[in-house]
This record gives sequence, structure tokens and C-alpha cells, in this order.
Amino acid sequence: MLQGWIVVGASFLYLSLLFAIAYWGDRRADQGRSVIATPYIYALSIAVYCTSWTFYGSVGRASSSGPHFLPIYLGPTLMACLWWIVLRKMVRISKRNRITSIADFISSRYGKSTLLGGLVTVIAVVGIMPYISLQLKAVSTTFNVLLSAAPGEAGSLFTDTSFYVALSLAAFSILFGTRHIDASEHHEGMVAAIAFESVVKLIAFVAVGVFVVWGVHDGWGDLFGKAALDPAIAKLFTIGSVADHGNWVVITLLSMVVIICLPRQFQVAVVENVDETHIRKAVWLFPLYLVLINLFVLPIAVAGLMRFPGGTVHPDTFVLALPMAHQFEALALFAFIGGLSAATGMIIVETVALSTMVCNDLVMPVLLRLRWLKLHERSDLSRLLLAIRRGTIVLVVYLGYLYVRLIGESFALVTIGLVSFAAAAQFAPAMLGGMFWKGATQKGAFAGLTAGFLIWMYTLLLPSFARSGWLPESFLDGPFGIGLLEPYALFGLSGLDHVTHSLIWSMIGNLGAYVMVSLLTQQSAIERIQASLFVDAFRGDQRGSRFWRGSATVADLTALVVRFVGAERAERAFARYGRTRGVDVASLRDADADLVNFVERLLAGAIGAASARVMVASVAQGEIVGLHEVMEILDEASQVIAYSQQLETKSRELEIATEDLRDANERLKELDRLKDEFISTVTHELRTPLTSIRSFSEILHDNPEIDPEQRQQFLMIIVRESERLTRLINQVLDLAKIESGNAQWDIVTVDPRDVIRDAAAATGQLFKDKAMILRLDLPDEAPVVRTDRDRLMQVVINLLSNAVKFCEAGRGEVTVRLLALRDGVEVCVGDNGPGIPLAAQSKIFEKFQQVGDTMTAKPEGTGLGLAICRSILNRLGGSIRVESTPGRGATFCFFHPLEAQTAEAAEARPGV
Amino acid sequence: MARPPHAHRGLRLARPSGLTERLGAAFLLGLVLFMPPLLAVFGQGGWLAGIPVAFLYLFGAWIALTLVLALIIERAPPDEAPLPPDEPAER
Repeated sequence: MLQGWIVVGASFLYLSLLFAIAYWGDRRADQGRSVIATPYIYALSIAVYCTSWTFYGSVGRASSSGPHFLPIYLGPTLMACLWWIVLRKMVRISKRNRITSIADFISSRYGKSTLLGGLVTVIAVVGIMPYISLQLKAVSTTFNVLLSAAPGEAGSLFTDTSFYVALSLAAFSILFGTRHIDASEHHEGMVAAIAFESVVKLIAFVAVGVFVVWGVHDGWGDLFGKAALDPAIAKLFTIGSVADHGNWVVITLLSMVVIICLPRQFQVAVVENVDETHIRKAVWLFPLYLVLINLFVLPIAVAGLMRFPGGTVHPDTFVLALPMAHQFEALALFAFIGGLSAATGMIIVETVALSTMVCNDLVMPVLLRLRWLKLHERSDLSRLLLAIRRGTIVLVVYLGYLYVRLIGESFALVTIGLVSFAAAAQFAPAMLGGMFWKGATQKGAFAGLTAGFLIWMYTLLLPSFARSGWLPESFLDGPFGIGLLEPYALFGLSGLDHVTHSLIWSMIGNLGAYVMVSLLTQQSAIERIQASLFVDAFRGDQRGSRFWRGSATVADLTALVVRFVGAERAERAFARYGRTRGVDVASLRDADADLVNFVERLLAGAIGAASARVMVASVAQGEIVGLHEVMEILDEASQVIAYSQQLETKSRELEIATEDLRDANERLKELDRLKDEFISTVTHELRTPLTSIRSFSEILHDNPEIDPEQRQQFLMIIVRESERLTRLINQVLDLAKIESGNAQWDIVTVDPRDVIRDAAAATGQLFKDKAMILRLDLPDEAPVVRTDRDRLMQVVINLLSNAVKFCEAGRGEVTVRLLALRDGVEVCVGDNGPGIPLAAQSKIFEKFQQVGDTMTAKPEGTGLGLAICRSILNRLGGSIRVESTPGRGATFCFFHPLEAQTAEAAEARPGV
Repeated sequence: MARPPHAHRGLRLARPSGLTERLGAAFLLGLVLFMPPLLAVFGQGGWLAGIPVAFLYLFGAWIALTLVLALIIERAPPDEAPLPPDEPAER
């Protein structure tokens, strides 16, 4: 038997530890070294879902209906799969719009409606109150169990444990939940404490489970084997009939939505989220937590039923009763602390969430409208805000306490919990619908919430009052005895669980009204704006300021912010705004729409979106643009996105086209330059012979008495120069023809040796004139090639006459060699002339490029011979190169393929 | 002629579906596992190695789903679009 003071002392120690952790967490947060900036703490804080209802109530439910305690945890597991889609969007929206409660979220989505925010708050308070009292009841009941007092013997106020628990929890919530008014409403100390509590309750429950399975029994097989002997217990290992399946499905869906709709879950998962990416890990850590804390529920229930047959001990208290029955009092005490932590965690977060809602969405809007309070003239309202929140916490906790004193004894834990779940589920259509359906209207949301709430009251809350004696029993048979209106069997729908029954009707009413009214009513301008901000949270331009026109002075805005959040915080907020925008806010006189929007969001964090809008409107002239313009801007925005995507594609295409054009232009410019150069060179080359012809003609003309021998000589020069001129012009024309591709190509099969011999014969006179030797080094066999015979011969002749020109008369030796290669023939013309300097070798094939100084030494030839060779060979698909060591002769080699390429292929060859 | 070993692999090179699709699939898996009719199949009673089939099935499926979630999350690349810096975390 545990002594009362031990239990009280342990509880006190535990609560002190909680205070210490929260204090430490807040201190670290103030120093900027957050302890909650990890996904593990985040996931653990979400486990505030598991309240004392889980801790004690699950066992109770499992004792009566087997696995049916599970849907309450399977639903959240299913929702966790979708967290990355749903919860992340909620977090993103809430951070953007500084949303701090579920009432604010819904009100903000539907045009920052004060009415809607108030309605959500009322539903939350009425719906959650039983849940809070459930926790208090659990603490006092289990305390009594521990002391083996008769449960329910509450005694006077001052001996009632739940009173003291409520007292200390209110203190905790006030200290760590409402420390200051902040735009973000992060309570790091509180979150740290909640995470710690999640660990404690998990370890405590698992410890009891391990004790039951391996301490009391001999493992799983032993426990279940004994249970199988009792048919009543063995029945607990089945899901049951079709109606049971219906309950299973409904409860799963219910708990699926409440994991994001319960005010406390919204608080920890959305408001207290410090980093969106934490959601990722929570997606599997939270289900893991749920698996672990539920693993031993059924074994404990089964063991309890076997140990305490005949209902001597309430199944809700098996977790404590089993260790106590086996004289493991320390374990029982630890389990009690676990249950206490489950209860306190829930109460703390829930009261903080409710106090924010009541303050921002119920009290402030009313106070701000009451002119006679002269709130508009108060210089600092942040103290008032804190006072309201603290008052709300005390009020909520004590309403919960009163509820448990007055009504609490008539229900099992699970039933009360599900009543609250059903209330919270009423938020789901407006909330989820609002995030994914732009067309949902304020009136639709209001109609849906009202319908759902009223049906919930009629089918769950009021009957529970009737059963507790607050209303006449006859209410359960339907008002005025009308059977069709029976609260637990509305319109004759019977045979279902009360909660399932209520959910079916309330969801039909809620969803039906929400969708129908939304479809039949119009959105106002601000609703349209908010709808697009919510639904398109992950897309594009998120500035609300686009929709606002008008002006306000910076001084007015600053004064407004200071009144609600205090001077120091206001200053910091403006400084941060200035830093991100690169302006000094204090130096401005008039605020732009962006700054007004910033102030509104800042205030929204402190007093809720609806009130913030009213307050900003009171100092700013002008308003949001009309509905028509809003539609235009929004349509514009979506069109702009589509256009910009098209533009991007276009501009990429254009870039490529431009690049091509630039290249083409470069080539054209280069060609143009070459052409100019060519023309100027040609004219220069033409002028030289012309000049000499003209000057000799003039001499002959001016001096008729010139002696005949000299005259003959001069005439000879004139004739030679004319020949040279003709040759030059012919070659220029030739080259132009080849390069332009207009030349006729007459492809025939020839023996390259014949071509070389003919060329040698044609140039024989030149060699004789200069007394030079020409040697032909031709193989006995050579492949035939298909080529234009005349052009090929022209190449060889050009090379031979070139060699003649540069060799010293009398000593010159020229060798022509033919080499048969695999894919063509190579012809090399070598001489023993002066050779070509290395620097000139690369340029020698260009037009009018001649070796030697053209200014001093009179070059022989036109400077076009090699250029023509190269052009011809390129056209035929061959190539030409030179090898030379200055002073030791030069060798020109060209390659010709077996089959000359067609003109088309030649056309495509680059560099022709 | 021998086909190069990687020739048909191109079919499998389609863009791997994103985190959202995978988690959506996990959700559907959960629905199938925890709802009738599969539930009804395993909820009829019966024993396996001394442990009730319903208990074994529900927790087995639950743990398996959690594992699947863990695999999906931990193998996915880091989030591509975190909250833009324009919105500083308020403190």
C-alpha cells in the first residue's frame, strides 16, 4: 500500500521537473540555442495526442471490445502518410500569414471573418472541455486507485487531487504558454516539456506492458494461451460483425482528421513548428511512437480481465491495478507518473491553444468593437492581451474541473474522449476544403460548421447531459416523445455506436451545407484573395500587398504595433523588415502597401487575422481592391505564369537561333573581308603588268626614233606582260569558277600514271629552257582513280611549273613520285630549290601568297597556282600539303581518293 | 549480334516518382491494410504460434507500414523547395 504523501511527493517532484525543463527550454530559446530544433523533439511533441485516455482508456476499451481501441491510432498513422502534403501546407500557410490557432486559420481562409473565428472558438471550447475534464478525472481516479480509496469519493474541494493538479497546470500554462505576446507564438519551453512527457508516458506504459507479459506471465504465448481458455476473453481477438466494421471504419476516419483538427495538435504540429523539414521525420517517427505505446494495450487488458474477473476493478485502471496486485508498488507509482504526464501534457497544450483562440477570436474582437472601453486610446495593449489569455487558461481549466465534478462519473474515459473528437472533426471540412478548394465561401464554411456543431450537440452532448441528470431522462426518447428525433437513433438509424451515429449525421449536415452553400453563394474580394493565398501556398507570388491600395503613415503603423506587442518587439520587427527590404523604416513617412501588409501580418500573430485587419484599417486610408480587380489580378497571375513559361521556351529557342545567326554573320563577315582582300590583291596584281605594258607603249610612242633592236625588245616585253595578264585573268576566273561551284566536273576513270606522264610532257619545254632534270618515279602498277582528268592534270602541271620557277637553272632536279594507298593515291613533287620557310608553309596555299619579298624580288607566277590546286583537290575530295626544310628543297604532296567525291558531298565539306 | 547489356535499361530510366506520390501510395497501402475487407479476413479469430491472428496481423501491418514510411522518407533527397528566406522564422 502506497502512502498518500509518497504519491503526492512524487507527483510534485515530477511537476517541478517539468517546470525546470520548460524554464530551461525558454532560457535556451532566449539565448538563440533552441533545444527543439530537431525533428525528434517535434515528433515527440506531436505525441501529445496520446493523453491519459490512451494511457488508461485504451486498456478499458480493449477489455470490452478487443482491437477496437486501435482505429484511434491507425487513423493518425494513415494521416501521417499524408502529412507531407497536408500538414506541410498548413505550416507554410500559417507561417506566411502568422496564424496562431485553428480558429485563426479558418477565419483567415474565409476572408478574415470575425464571426467564423468566434464560431470555431466556441465549438472548440464546448467540444474540448469534456476532454480536459477527462484528464483531470483520470488523475484523481488513478490517485485514488493508488491509495486504494473508493473511486469517485472526491471529498471536499481541498482534498481533491484533481483540484491541485488543475491549479499547478494552470500555473504552468500561464508561465510557459503566455510568457509574452509574440508574433510567432512559439513556446519552446513548453514544447520541450511536452516532448519530455511523451518520453515518460511511453516508457511508463511499456514498463507496465513488459512487466505484465514477462513478469506476471511467461511471454506472449503463455499470456494468450491462458486467455484462450476463457471464451469471453478469446472473443476480444476478433474484429466482430459487419456493424463493428462500420464503427471501425468511421473511428479510423474520425481520428484521421482529428490528428490535424484538434486545437492542441494544431498547436504543436503547426504553430510550434520551427522548421518545415521536421515534418519529414515525423511522418514515420510518430507512427512508430503509436505502435510502441499500443503494443501492450491488449496484453494488459487480457491480463487484467484474467486477474480481476467479474468486474471488481474498472478496466480503465488495469495499468495501475496489475502492478499493485502483484505488490510492485514502485512500478505502479511510475505508471501513475506516466498517466499524470499524459494528462498534464494534454491539458497544458490544450489550454494554451484555447486561450489563444478565446483571446484572439472571441474576446479581442468584442473589446475592440466596444467604443466605450476606449481601447483605441490605450497605449499598450500587450498587457491586456496577456491578462486575457491568462484569465482564459484559468477559466478553461476550472470549467474542466467543474465539469468533472458535476458530470464526470457517468462515462468511461473513452466515451468522453470520442465526444470531443467528434466535435473537433467538425473543423475538417472547412479546414481541409479551404486548403484545396478555392471556391469554398465564408457563408458555406459558416453553414457547415453551424450545422455540424448543432447536430453534434443534439446527438452527443445533450444526451450525455441527459444521462448525467442535467436534462430530463425523457430527452433520450426524443423531444416531445417523437421517436424519429431520438438523439441516439436519429431518423431511426440505430444499431450503431453513439459516436458513429453522431458522426454520420453531423458530417452529412456539415459537408452538405458547406458544399451546397459554397456553390450557391459568392465570395467577396478579400475571400477570393485569401482563398488563393491558401490554396496556392506553394506557388508563385505570395504578397498579399498586391491587393491593397491606399496609404498610411509609418508613425501610425508603428504606434499600432507598439500598442499590441510592446515597443521593444515592435522595433525589432521593423528593423528586420528594413533589413530584408533594404530600407530604413524609421526614415520613411508614408508606408507602402508592402509595409501595411507586413504590419497586418505582425498584428495577426498577436491578436488574430480578423482583429488585425480591423486595427490596420483604422489607421490606413484606402482598402483592398474590388472583387472585379482581384479576379483580374488573380487571373493575370495565372496567365502570367503560363505566358512566362511560354516565353521561357521561346526565348530559349531565340537564343539558339541568335547563336546560329551570329555564327553565320561571323562567317559572312570573314568571307566579305576575304573578298575585299582578294579584289584589292587582284587589282594590284593586274596593275603590275598593265603598268609595264603602258610605260613601254608610251616609250615607243614618244620616241619614234628608237632603234629597231630596242623596239623589238620592248615589244617583246609588252607581249610577255600581256600574256602574263591574260594568264592571271584566266586563273582568277578559273579559281572563282571552282570556288563558286559552277565549274563543270567531268568524272572519268583514269590511270594516275598517265596523268603524270602527260603533265610531264606538257611542262617538258620549261625544264629544257632552264636545263633542269625531271624524274618520274612511278610504280609498275597503280590503281585507277575516278576523277576529272583535266583538273587533276592542271594540279600536277601547276606543281611542276612551280618547282621549275623556284629552282636554280642548270642545277635543278625535280622528282615526281606516285604512291598507291589503301583508299587513294598520293602524288609527291619534290625539288631541290631554296625551300619554304616554316612560317610561310601554312599560308602558301592561300591566294596571292608568295614566298619571298614581293616588294624587292620580282616573283614569278601569279600567286594563284597553289590556291587553285587546293581548291581543285578539295572539290575532288583530296588534300594537299607541303614538306620543306629551308635550303634543302620542298616537296608538295597531294592525296586523291579512289573515287572523286560528288559535288554535293564536296559542297558540304567545311573550309572549301 | 549481341545486344549491349544496357540497351533495354533505358525503359527503367523514367523519372522516379517524387516523395508526394510515394507517400500517397503508402497511404493507400495503409487504407487497404487497415480497412475491411482485408481486416475482416484477419479479424475472424484464430491462432498462429500461440498468438491471436488479429493481433499479429494488425501490429505486423502497422510496423510494416511504419517501415515503408521510414524507407520512403529517409531515401528521398532533401526537400527541393524550403520556405523562402523572405519569411524569417520569427523569434
